[in-house]
Amino acid sequence: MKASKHIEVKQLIRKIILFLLAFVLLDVISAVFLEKLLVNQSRGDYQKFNYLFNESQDQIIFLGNSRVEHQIVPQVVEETTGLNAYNAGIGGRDILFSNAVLDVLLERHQANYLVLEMQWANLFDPVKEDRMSFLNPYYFSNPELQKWLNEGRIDKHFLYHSSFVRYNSTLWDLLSASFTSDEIDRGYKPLRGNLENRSTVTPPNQGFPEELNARKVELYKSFINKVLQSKSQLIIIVTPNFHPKEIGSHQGLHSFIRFLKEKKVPLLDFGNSEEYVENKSIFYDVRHLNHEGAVEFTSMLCDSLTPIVNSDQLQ
Amino acid sequence: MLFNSLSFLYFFCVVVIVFFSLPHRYRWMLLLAASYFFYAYWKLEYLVLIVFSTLVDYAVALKMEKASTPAYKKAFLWLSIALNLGVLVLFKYSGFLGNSLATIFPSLSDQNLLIYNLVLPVGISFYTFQSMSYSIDVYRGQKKAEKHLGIFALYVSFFPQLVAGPIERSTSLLPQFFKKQEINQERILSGLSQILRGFFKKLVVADRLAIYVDAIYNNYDNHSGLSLALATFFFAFQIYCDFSGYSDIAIGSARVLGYDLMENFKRPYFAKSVRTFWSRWHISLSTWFRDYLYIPIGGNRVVKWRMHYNLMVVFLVSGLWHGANWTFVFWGGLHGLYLIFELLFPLNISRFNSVLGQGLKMVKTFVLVCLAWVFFRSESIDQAFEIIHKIVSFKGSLYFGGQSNFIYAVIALFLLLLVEVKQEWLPSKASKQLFTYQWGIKYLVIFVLILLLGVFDKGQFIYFQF
Repeated sequence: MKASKHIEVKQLIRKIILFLLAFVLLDVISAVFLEKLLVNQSRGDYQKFNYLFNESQDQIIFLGNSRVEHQIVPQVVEETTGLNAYNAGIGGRDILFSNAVLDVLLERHQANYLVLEMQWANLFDPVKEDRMSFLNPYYFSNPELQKWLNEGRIDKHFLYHSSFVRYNSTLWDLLSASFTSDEIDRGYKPLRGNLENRSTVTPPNQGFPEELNARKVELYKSFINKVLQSKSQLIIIVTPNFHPKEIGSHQGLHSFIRFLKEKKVPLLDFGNSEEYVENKSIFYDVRHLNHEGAVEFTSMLCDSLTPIVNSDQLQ
Repeated sequence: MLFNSLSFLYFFCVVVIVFFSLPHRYRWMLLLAASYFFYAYWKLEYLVLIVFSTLVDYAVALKMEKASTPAYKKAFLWLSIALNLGVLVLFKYSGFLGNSLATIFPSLSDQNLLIYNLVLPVGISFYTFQSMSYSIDVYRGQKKAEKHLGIFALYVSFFPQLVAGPIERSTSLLPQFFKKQEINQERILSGLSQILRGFFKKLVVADRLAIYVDAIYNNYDNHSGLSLALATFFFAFQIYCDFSGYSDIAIGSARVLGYDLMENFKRPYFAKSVRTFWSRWHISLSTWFRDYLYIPIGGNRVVKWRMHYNLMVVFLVSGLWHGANWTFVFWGGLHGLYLIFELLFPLNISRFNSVLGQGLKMVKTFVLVCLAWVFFRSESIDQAFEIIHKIVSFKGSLYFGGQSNFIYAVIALFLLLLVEVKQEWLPSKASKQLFTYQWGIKYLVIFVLILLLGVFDKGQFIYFQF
């Protein structure tokens, strides 16, 4: 009886080991294919970050979410300021993501200027940890990302050795990028169309909540301090809103603005610029300018950037 | 502790290894300690409630058995029911009751109405029902009172099914804790494969669909009827895979340890009537309500109108069991109405027996169930009606959200339906083939799909809140 149990346990362990070995073999083979797929990206978001993490020598890099991706035209910046510019914005990400990207950038190539886009509302939103997985494929090639992705846990670090884990939810993006016809120019993705023909427009959100998200504030401060300690100069911009949004006497927001002033970080706030507010012809939707609006706005931004650049050059 | 967390993986491996290394007489101690640890992982304070429920029903059952008269016996039963439901009402429904009273009688809202906003302990509805059913079984003489407090505590808190069922019966689960469980590779492998299927349903299907559903339902006024219809369709599968995925993991985990839990889902969306839907959906709860509420209030051995009334009561209570909100009550009531309607106007005409007719019945049932899901998913009844109004107006364009997410959602749903169709109409005869290379390849593919397409940061299971 005991002997047959012993055999049963041995058989069970043998089957489990065989299963795991087959898994490891499949994983290793897939890793070769997936790594190749990543490196050979010719379009799309992964091509953008391949470039940014491996090749970029740009002098001015714009960081942020879709409000950078669709609203900052690097060509206009280059023509106006004479600096090489790159749009590193990517939709749906927040300051947690920007912090991780910053660590890679500061390690590799310190641009003259890092321009971070933010909306005041970002200081209240929850941290988007679930959007970090985009960076998983770079886990081993860019070790600066590891602390952001594994949250300091050795077991999570171990799991990243599996290519299936690193490439979780990325397969479609990697496979489809070559087939998309999106216009992309130095990271900028234009949006075509406007709000004029839309029957309904998303109504404005209500005012700001009372409390800032403390973790978000901490992440912004950490980002700012890291750039200040590097050779890059930080500029923070607020891009235009379709619906104006006043910060009024909000204590938390004023305290954050005071922090920027103390750190001498230039803040270029176009959030409520009259030229843009409720101008349906230049907005694609209430959160994003269309291509015409983006060109116009980037020119306007450059009018404010140029004096900063020129004064630096004089110094 | 969440099933879909690394902590559970470590916890379960340790429990299994230690369980089979221990002599049989100590195993209940390990499982009880593990179950309490599993539950306390959320919040240590939760343990107080589960221990309270355990002690009440343990003591009441012993007293009932020794009661000298039927009246005493009944009094103890009511004590158990009152205390169990009291805890449930206090923690789950006090805020809802207070708010509802204040809405009906506005003057009460000025009277410092006692409205508690207590944190709802996870799984409280599940284990109070399980514990209460034991007292009722003892009262009915279907089960002898359990004298071993430790084993009884394990029955109430057994970790695989503690927070979201299946709601087990004492007659089925309690005796299993006394039986010596030997290592059985067939049971272990079939348990592990059921766990993998559960993870596939939860991580690949439910959590993926949830991204689209949340995007639409959390911002429903900005989305078209078409998008809302698709989101409702997705929600039907999200909630099914979320809950049945949990049940699969629970049943699989228990099976690895040598215990059998009851089947909780049988491909409910292939039901051809709402009545059969309820014999395939959350079976452990449906049968609980049948045995401990429907039959005691008369069941179907009464006049027709009374039977309809009984059905309605059961479904309204079932709705309320799901959550302290009128939306759940409405959802339950709607299902009650569907059933009454089916009883009044049965579709047993011969032309409905063709394949097409059967298919139409299935579609009809699915549409009715989806209509009810709108109330289940909405935050208020008004919101649900607005959503339904938008859906039937059928205007606007379809929102796809993130392209890749949508593609993964469609792939996940396709794979699920493929498996379910096969299980429903082409059931495998392959119990002999279970652990061959084919089996290995099949589960290797599922494992890879989970890692490649699963959503790993979506959080907990929907049914925990109940």
